[in-house]
Amino acid sequence: MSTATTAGRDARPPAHGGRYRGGILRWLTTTNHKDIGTMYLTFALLMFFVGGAMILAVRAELFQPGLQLMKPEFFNQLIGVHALVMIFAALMPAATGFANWQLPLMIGAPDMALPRINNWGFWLLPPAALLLTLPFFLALFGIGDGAVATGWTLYAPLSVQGGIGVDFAIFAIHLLGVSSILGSINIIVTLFNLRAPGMTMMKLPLFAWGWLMTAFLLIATIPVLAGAVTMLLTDRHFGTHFFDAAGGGDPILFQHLFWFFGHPEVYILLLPLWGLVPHVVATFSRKPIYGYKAQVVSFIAIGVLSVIVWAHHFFTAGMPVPALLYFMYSTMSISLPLAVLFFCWIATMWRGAITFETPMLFALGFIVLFGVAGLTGLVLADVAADAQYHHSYFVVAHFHYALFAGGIMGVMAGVYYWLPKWTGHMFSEKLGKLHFWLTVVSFNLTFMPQFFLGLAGMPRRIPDYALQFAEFNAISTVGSFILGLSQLIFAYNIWRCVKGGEKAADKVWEGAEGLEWELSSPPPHHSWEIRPNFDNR
Amino acid sequence: MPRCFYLPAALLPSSACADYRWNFPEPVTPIARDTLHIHNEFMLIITALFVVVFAIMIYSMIAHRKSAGRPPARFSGPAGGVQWFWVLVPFAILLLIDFVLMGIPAYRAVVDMEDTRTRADMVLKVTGMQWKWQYEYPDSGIKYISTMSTPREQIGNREAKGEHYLLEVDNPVVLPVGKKVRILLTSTDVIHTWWVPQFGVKRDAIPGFLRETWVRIEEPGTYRGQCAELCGKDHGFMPVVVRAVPEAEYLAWADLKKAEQAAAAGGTDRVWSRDELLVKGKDVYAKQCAVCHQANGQGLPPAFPALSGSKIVAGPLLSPAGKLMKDSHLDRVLNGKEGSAMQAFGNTLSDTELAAVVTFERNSFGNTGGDLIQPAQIKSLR
Amino acid sequence: MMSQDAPRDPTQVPTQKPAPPSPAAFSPEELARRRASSRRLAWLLGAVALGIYLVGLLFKR
Repeated sequence: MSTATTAGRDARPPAHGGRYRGGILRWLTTTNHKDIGTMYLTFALLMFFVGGAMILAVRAELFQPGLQLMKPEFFNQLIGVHALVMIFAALMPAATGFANWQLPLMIGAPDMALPRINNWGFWLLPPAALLLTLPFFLALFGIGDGAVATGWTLYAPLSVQGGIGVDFAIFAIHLLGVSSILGSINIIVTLFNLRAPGMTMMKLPLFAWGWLMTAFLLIATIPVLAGAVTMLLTDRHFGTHFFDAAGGGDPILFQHLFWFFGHPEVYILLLPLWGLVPHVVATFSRKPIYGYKAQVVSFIAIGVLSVIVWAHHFFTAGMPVPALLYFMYSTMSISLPLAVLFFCWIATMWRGAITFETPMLFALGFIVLFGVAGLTGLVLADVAADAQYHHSYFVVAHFHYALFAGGIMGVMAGVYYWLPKWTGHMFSEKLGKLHFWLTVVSFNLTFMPQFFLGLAGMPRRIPDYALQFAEFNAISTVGSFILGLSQLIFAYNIWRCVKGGEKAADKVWEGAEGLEWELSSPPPHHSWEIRPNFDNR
Repeated sequence: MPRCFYLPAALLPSSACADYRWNFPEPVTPIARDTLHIHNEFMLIITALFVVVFAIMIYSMIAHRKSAGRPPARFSGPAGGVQWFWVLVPFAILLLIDFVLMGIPAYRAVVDMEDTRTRADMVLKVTGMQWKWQYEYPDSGIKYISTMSTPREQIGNREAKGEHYLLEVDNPVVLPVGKKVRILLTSTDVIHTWWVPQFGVKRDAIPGFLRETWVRIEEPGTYRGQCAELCGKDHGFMPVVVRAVPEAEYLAWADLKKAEQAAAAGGTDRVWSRDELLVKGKDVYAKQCAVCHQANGQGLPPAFPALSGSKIVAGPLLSPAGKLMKDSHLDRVLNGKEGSAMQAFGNTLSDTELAAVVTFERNSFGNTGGDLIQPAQIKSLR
Repeated sequence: MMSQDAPRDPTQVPTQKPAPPSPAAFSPEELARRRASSRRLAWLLGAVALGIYLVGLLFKR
């Protein structure tokens, strides 16, 4: 029995008693989905603080007009690397960590289908993160001029002109991309092949559906990004002219390729969390998820729409009127499937018996603040008004409502929701609630003023600004420091929970439903040695 | 304080938002007025949506809390015609909002915004370059460069900041009020974006391509904006300043500017003394070169090499036959260096300015080339 | 209440105790079959990703 259930074809003999060797070797060689999930999540948390520290330096510089702390060159490096780190090294690994830990538990699989690829997927990340940040340190020793300074968008020709930081970023993106594709392939084949008997696709948990769409989007779009940065690399070093008008190329081609990846990337980050939030909302409303099928259809619709709206990220680059109109209306139509999701989230709560534990608080915060992102996204789609919003702090505020409130706070809801299952201990509810309220207040304090800065005309990515923007920037900086520091509570709460605490029940939350709650907390090293039967559900 | 966001300025008495800190700055073109109008309408719509949707949610949070003591319902989807009706109504409303309430005004505004050619009275060509703007009036042959005039001392906090800190230039664009100006944009190096918030106009300047937009300024005044696309280290320091004046004043300014340019070009034919060249060169260097190569010529290596002690600067000025040599100092200044921020100044500076700045660089920062070049020589090399 | 004919979904509360899990894990043959099928699909998806990447070669250089 044990040979059939251990991970991978290289199933170890039962003699290891369900545990691998201790020490670093265990983590380097593990093919266990729980170990790998833990590594992904730990890495994500670590990089969340790295990326956060970078942006706090930026906010400190922006506290007052004038240059106080750094040169503009260094400022430009910080903003770009902050974005790359947060997107590729914090948010995406966090979602992949969830998938690794939870998908096998939730679908009754013994492990991921391709455990060794799983190990590879993770271990590509640390070198990628190193490549991304190494140029900062090389510059200290007089090698190169620092990290990539083009913003995360790497627009040519600025990136063709840039220093070695751009090359490092290109290779980091390749590694991160390979890691994402490996992870996606693994998730797709696991969901297709290792579901418990009787679990049809339309009985799949919504979290799995969200991840399935993300995985398909990653496989469709990461190669395009990889292609674009490879073209950038050959333009930089091998005399091609993909993006150089003098050689018959077009700088805007880069923007098309980048955003063909970049727009779906937003949904890549958010779909797993749109899948997660209904579970949390249903659990704490003690009610079944409302509109399961409608949500699945919306995930698919959003996935499809996401790859046909990319050019709304560069309306100001100029394009023919029919193209402008097409991208405007197709972008607006994304609001329909998104509205289905909002409707279902709220209908799930309707006439439930709601309690407000930390995961629920984060889920509710996610819903409300992500609502701001969705609604401002709707107005950004309008080409005429976009001429004012674009490249301004309005956009910065908009996508932080999407990616911090929608992304990071969604991840936090998930962490608090599943942490007792993973560790077998309850976290401190008091600290969790404190963390939530500090986060939600300081988040708004940080980013709400940025909407007004954008409306008043402050461009993004400037290290210094005109005097009329001073007050809002000061408020935003104060907010950002509270926001950053309150995340330490999060880390401390997790650490405490890993170390010990009140014993968690198998079914941690009263209203929780799903296979994962039938296993012990923490689950055995090999899940589902006894196959769950889904025929009767 | 930030909740004012949900009360767009349109709702407030205009005095309360006189300085428009909560909204777009005061519009002075038809496009900007349209944009502000659309923006206010959209903000009202999304605010209403936000309030209605989350009022329902908050009602549910309170009424359906566990401590209220009712057992949870078990439904997981609409059942029956009436429920389906209520489920579909919000989506019908959203369709209406997307494609009628928002879609139709947006359509009109887009078509208007992109109509750059109909009845255009004049053309302004804007060229972005790291990190300044060049303005060209093809009708009258005027062409000049506009750079930020805020002193570095203010940026470094060694001096009090002026009223228009970072939003002031040496040579503003001058445009006549009430005329439809077709604006053509391009760039010499990387992508820049020309943005004046009060015009409601923001358009990228893309190297090797022409993009266009238009303005019709309705009020005389000085309007300020900035480059909006990250374009390198001094992206934050390339403001746009437009002075809108009545047509008569504009014509007078154009005549004056033409005369000035003719005078500047006139110097090409005479022989300049070494001291004259050095004085003028110092001035040109401060405006055009010091941003990267620094006032002391030490540069910011490796992106921006030092001129002090540079092998290229120390190399011969011209070949023995008096021709331009590839990769020489003069070649770099005239034609730039591909793949770097060093641009082809031959396109933007006059013969006199080029001769002066090259002479200055060869004889400053400890460089002792000792040689000089005359504007006439530059002219013949072009 | 309309739970009787509402669509079933995986997170819905079972109205009675779940059926006792079947005692055996995936049989070795079954697991091997599923893993082989996973590998085939993985190669296919990998080939698709590589294919998309190589489309870049069609752009004018």
